[in-house]
Amino acid sequence: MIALVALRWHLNYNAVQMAAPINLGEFEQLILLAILRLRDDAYGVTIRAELAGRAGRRVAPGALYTTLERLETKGLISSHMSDPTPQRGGRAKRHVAVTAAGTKALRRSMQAYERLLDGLDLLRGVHA
Amino acid sequence: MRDNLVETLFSLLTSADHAEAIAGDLIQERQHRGSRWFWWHAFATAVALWASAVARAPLRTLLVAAGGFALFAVPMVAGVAAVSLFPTLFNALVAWSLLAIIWWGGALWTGASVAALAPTRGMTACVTLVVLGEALLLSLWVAGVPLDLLRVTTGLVYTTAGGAACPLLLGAAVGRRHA
Repeated sequence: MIALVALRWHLNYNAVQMAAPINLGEFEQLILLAILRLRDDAYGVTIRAELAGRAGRRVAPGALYTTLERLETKGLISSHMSDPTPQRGGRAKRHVAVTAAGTKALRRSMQAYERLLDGLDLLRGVHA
Repeated sequence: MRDNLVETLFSLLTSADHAEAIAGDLIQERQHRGSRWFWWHAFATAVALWASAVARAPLRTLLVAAGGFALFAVPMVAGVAAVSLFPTLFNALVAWSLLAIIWWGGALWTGASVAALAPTRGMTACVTLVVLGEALLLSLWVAGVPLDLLRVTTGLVYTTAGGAACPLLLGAAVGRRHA
């Protein structure tokens, strides 16, 4: 009986999880945007440089790698290893790319911002 | 050598591919930022990887860590018994050596067993066990709780117990490699 209830709860939980849209945190949005901008050259070092250069965010490597791992687990990015290079002590780069699900989640977040910003004129410094 | 050490450290907390890439990124940036930056961020990244692994499944990690503590309790009690049951048989040095061998050997065995029995969570659980154990020891030491075992002084007992963290993690690393 308990096993049946647990199984039913598990199936319901999975169904809800599958149906629910993925909400992105602010840091996740920034990382996905940086990856999109970098195209084929997106890996740890370049993503951190892009975030520092364009968003003014100095991100600790640990925070970036754990977030990349979480995004990959959610299916929002994919990764592949490149060939090893000498300036990295013969170690390969882990290149990342935004998946279709990642693009969809990011678009959803951006549209929400757009709707909220509509009529505010906030970006031009004038609050309507 | 030092780069391999860092990569090995990361490989204990994440997949081998990810560990290689993270170590490679830090090595690449070290050329511009220097060694101090490299070592600080190697340590901070390892801590972040551990914290992230715990946050993904906190209950499961704690359960595995509790299992590890139960395993370690056997050599812990055995060490105390060996030293306390025959106080006249050993002098101070022999008593401490016996305690250290039993506790450190037990820690090595515990780490290897936990990592072998729980390949995905074992290493994280062992690090959690070390963090909790060291915090407990530190708070007992700050509170001034005496832990002397007849011929082994309080200071030596604290040091020996604290030192068990190294063989525990070493055992877990070996167990993870063979799992």
